[in-house]
This record gives sequence, C-alpha cells and structure tokens, in this order.
Amino acid sequence: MPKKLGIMIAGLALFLLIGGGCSRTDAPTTNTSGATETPAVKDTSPIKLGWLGPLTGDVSSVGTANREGTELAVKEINDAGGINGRKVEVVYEDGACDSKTASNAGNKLINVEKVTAIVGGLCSGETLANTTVAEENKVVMVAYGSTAPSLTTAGDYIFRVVPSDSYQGKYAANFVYSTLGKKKVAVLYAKTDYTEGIAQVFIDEYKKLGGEVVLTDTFLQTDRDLKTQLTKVKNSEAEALYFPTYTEAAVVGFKQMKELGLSISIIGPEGYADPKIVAAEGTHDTMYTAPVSPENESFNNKFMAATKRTDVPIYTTHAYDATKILLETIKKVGTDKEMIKNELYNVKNYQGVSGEITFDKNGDLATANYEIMVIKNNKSEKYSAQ
Amino acid sequence: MFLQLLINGLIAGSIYALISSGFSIIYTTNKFVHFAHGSTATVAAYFLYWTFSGLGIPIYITFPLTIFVAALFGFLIHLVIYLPLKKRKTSSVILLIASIGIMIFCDNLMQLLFGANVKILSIFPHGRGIEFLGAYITPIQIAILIIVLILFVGLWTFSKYSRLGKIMRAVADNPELAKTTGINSVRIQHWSFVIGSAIAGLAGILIALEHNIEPSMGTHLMIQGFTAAVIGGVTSLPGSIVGAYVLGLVENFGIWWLPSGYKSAIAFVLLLAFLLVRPQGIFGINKGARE
Repeated sequence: MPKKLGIMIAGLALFLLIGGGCSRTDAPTTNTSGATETPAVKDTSPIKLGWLGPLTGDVSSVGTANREGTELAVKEINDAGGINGRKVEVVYEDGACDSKTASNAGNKLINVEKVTAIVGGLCSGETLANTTVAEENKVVMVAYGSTAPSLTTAGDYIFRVVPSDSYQGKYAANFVYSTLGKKKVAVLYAKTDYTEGIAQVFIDEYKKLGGEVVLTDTFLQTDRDLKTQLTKVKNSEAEALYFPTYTEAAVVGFKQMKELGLSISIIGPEGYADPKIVAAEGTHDTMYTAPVSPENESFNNKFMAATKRTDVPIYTTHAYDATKILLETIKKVGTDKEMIKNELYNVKNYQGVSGEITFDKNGDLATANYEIMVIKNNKSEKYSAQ
Repeated sequence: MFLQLLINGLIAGSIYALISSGFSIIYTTNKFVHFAHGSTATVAAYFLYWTFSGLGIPIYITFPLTIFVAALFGFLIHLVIYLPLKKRKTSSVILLIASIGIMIFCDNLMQLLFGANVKILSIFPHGRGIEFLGAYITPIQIAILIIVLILFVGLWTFSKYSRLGKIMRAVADNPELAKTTGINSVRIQHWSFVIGSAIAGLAGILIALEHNIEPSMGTHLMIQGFTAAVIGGVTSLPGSIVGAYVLGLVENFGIWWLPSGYKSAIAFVLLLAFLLVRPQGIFGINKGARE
C-alpha cells in the first residue's frame, strides 16, 4: 500500500504543477543582465517589436483579431517605406490570458528576441506578469486591453491605450444604482487580475452610493459549473448581478442562469463584447459597459477588407493604435528605450482609431468615456431606457 | 435552496462518477494510474463534435459511434503504449509518467485540430429547467442522473455475475494466481481498457452536452475523477461511484457557507484527509479488489 500511495501522491503533485497554470505568478523570472542596445547610426536592420496577447485558450477569439490589428498597422508603416529606411518586424507571442504563459512569453520577447518595445498584452494578467521584467530591462509595454486598476502604478515603462477599470467599475456601479434603480446587488466574479480588480471598484463605489451588496462570491476562471454560486445568487435578495468574467466561464454561466431560472438583471464589463458571448445562449437582455469608441468607418472597412472579417472585434482598434503610437514614437526618437518611454509621456490628443489618446503621468489614459450596451437576440446594441 | 444544492451536487457527482468508474475498472486490473483516461473523454467529445456539427451525421449514429471510438482509443493506447512498457517489466511509476505524457499530447492535439475556443454542441435546445419543489433541473441533467444509475447497476451486475466480470476480479485480486489457473491476464487488461474507455466515451458525450467542449476538459475532469476514486476506494467499483457523489455533494454544500473559490480546495482537503486516515478509501480493502 505505501508504494501505491506514493505513486498517487506523486501523480497528484504532478497534476498540481500542470494545473498551476491558472494561478497567478507573483514573481516572474527576470534577466538581470539588463543590457541596453546601443543605437546604431544609419542602421538598415529591421526594427523588432514584440506582441503579446492570447492566441490560445480563453479569449483567444479576441486575441487573434487584435493581432490582425497590429499586423495592419505594421503593414501600413512598412508599405510606406518603414521607419527611417528600416522595416518593422513583429515577434508574436501567445500569452494565453494566463500569467504563467505570459510571463514566459514576455521573458522570451525581452531577453531572447531583444525587442525594442512590446505591444500588449490584452488580458491584465498577461501585462502584470511582465511589468517587473519590462521595468528591469527598460522595455516599454503598451497594453491594448489590460484594464486592471493595479496596472496604474505598475511602473514607468508600462502604458495602456485603454482606460483603467477604476473608471469602468464606477460607471457600472452608478448605472446600476441610479439608472436601473437597483439598490441591492450580488457580485460574482472570476478570480483573475482583471475581473477581481473591476469587481472591487464596483463594490466600493456601489456601497459609497448607498447600495447594499448582498452577496459577493467567486469562482475559478477554469470552472465550468457555476450552478451552486448562481443558486446562492438566486436565493439572495439581489435585484441585479454584476458578473465580471472572461469568455469561456461566461458562456456556461449564462446557460446555467437560464436553466436555474435566474431572471434578475445581469451587468458585466466590456469583455462581454466578445462575439462568443454575444452569440451565447441565455445572454438576452444582458448589459455591459464598453468604452465609447468613435465609429470609424474608414478603419472598419480597411480592417475588414484586409482580414476578410465581417466585424471589428473589441480592442482591435486599440491594438492598432498601440502599434501606431509606438512606431511613430520610434520614428521620432529612434530605438533608444529610455527615450521612447520619455517621448510617450508627451503624447497628447493623439487622434487614434479607438479615440483620442493622452497619457497621464502613470501611462494611463487621461480620460475615459463609457456607454452601456445591451445584448438583444444575440446582437449588441446601445442601451436606451424604456 | 437545500434541494437545489442537493441536485447540483448529485449532477456534479454523476459527472465525476462517469470518469471515476471507468478509471477504477482500468486501475483494478492493471494496477497503475491511467491519467490519460480523462483525455479519452475529451477525444470522444471532439469526435462527437466533428461528426455531428462538422459532418452532420444524426445522433442515433454518432452517439454509439463515439462510444465505440472511445473504446477503440483506450484499447489502442493499451496495445501500443502500455503493453510494450509492461513487457519490459516497467514500474508503475514509469507507466504513470507515460499516461501523463499521453494526456498532455491528447490535449494539445485536440487544440491543434479544433482550436482553443470552447465548442458548443447544440443538439438539444437549452432552456429553463423543469421546476421541482422550487429547484430547477434540465432534461439533460435528468438524463445524466438516470444514465449513471443504469450504468451503476449494470456494472455491478456485470462484475458480480458475468463470466468476464468474475475473471476481471480474479485478475485484479491476484494476477499471478489468475495466470496459473489459465486466465490470459493481458486479454483481461485489454477488456478493462475497452470497457473503461467506453464509459469515458459516454462521459464525453454527456459532459459535452452539459459543460461544452474544450481541449483541457479531460485534464480537469481527471483530477476530480481521480479524487473521487481515491475517496471511494480506487480498487472498488461501487466505491469509486460513491466517492464521486461524496465529492460532488461536499463541494457543492461546502461552498454554501465557504466562498466558492474554495471549491477545489475542499476537494483536495478531502483527498488528503482520506490518504492520511483511510488510504484504501470508503469501500476499498487493503489488498486486491471487490466487486
């Protein structure tokens, strides 16, 4: 028996190692060499950028579209002759919307590929897993979808072209409390950097407004059975549910809500714009907050023509803008990493396809505008009070 | 609330039982941990997705075909990978490592073939469950409960009364002694893989209908299935099924009070407690196997 027992425990330990992929890495490995490239004069070698985002796993449907946004921006610059005669090359790495995978990918980009700067990541966990190594090696990261409030103070080299959830969570809380008039909510969120951050902002603001959070509960992003959590929500006195999660758990969550007959209002963050969620069962009448993005018909047409897609998935315009801003900065100051960082802080009122971009002293967007979208018959439309 | 949680726990338990029972059948006759058992369910689920959604073959053909493919898959793994290793008198640790290799390979192969996105099988329209004393249950969930019940009774009858079942128990109890009485133990091990994997195929179908399909589903299921089997007694078929229900109920009732993030923690605490206090599980005996 002891031998068998040993085997089982060994097997379990191995499993935990493998399963550990869903947990957060607090200390990403870093390379301490920190050598900076010496900027070459009259260099015609290509400029190497890194790109980080989910190409597999949860949210990969968004990530692959965002990659095409970057590809389009780079193609335009290269077609116009590149930057000061140098072509732009991008190394694409999969962050899988998971801290551990993203940490490996980021380390590879910075230490092995020696990229000048990084576009990415999409998920907050992907970006947060790489802030230390990016700071130490002075590599600028411009995230195009990471909205976690904790990124604000993550470091000088970390920028983002999307507003922090400290705006979005507040906006959602105000909408639920004032516009919908719901005074009691339940909050159910996945344990990830992004969803935990926005849930906390929502709870704080909602309480400040005078509302009551009757239930707060969590689940793992890898869970596919939320029935018990939803049963708890149903049996609480909640008049609305705030439900921040990434795509795959949301899809089963909505199905199980319908099965359990949960009929209160559901509100979520901008991640719900993922076509997989919009097309999912049980999402009818679900609402979500989304950053106001100016309708940019010419970009949309250009993108759809280049990729043969029929829509422009969320954060694609942001990935395009992040790439363009970085490349235009490099064009201005060259490939010196510190100069790139300094110059980015001077970006003011940049007219991007995702909106106007001005970085504040933390590398965050200085302003943010949101609107409420509602899913009706598997289509997103702007919310209007009946 | 109590009734709803009970139903949730029973459904979760039934799903775990579908994995743990097949795992237990394979374990008793082979005496090593076949972790790739969960991957058999994944492969079956993707096969169903491919034949039904991709090729448009009707379900009365695809369902039996999926179970057959899963059985074949399990048989081939045993024939091509485990049997040559066993012939070299490899230790069960090496077999365990091999099974983990197969599991990772299968997960990644499915991801390569079908992509990482979650796949949704829309065979039956989903909708609001049927109300039953204030609790809700969907037709698919009722089907899962009934199928597992039938399977349980069927397996028990099989192992207790059928010739093959008796031989399997003999091999499980003492392979050497079984051999001296003229039993071909390799053939019995083949059979255990075929039967166990066929159950995994059934699990793949039902889980695909209840939880959607994704490449890592088998790995996650296997953790719960393995835990359930250890709790119930890995050498005992009824034990592995009882263990699955214990796990499903404890997880779901546990998070009634505890924050739901602790769901997996509850499962592992239970597993460790059993390993420390009663390593043979609820129904297991120290040596050999029961029906």
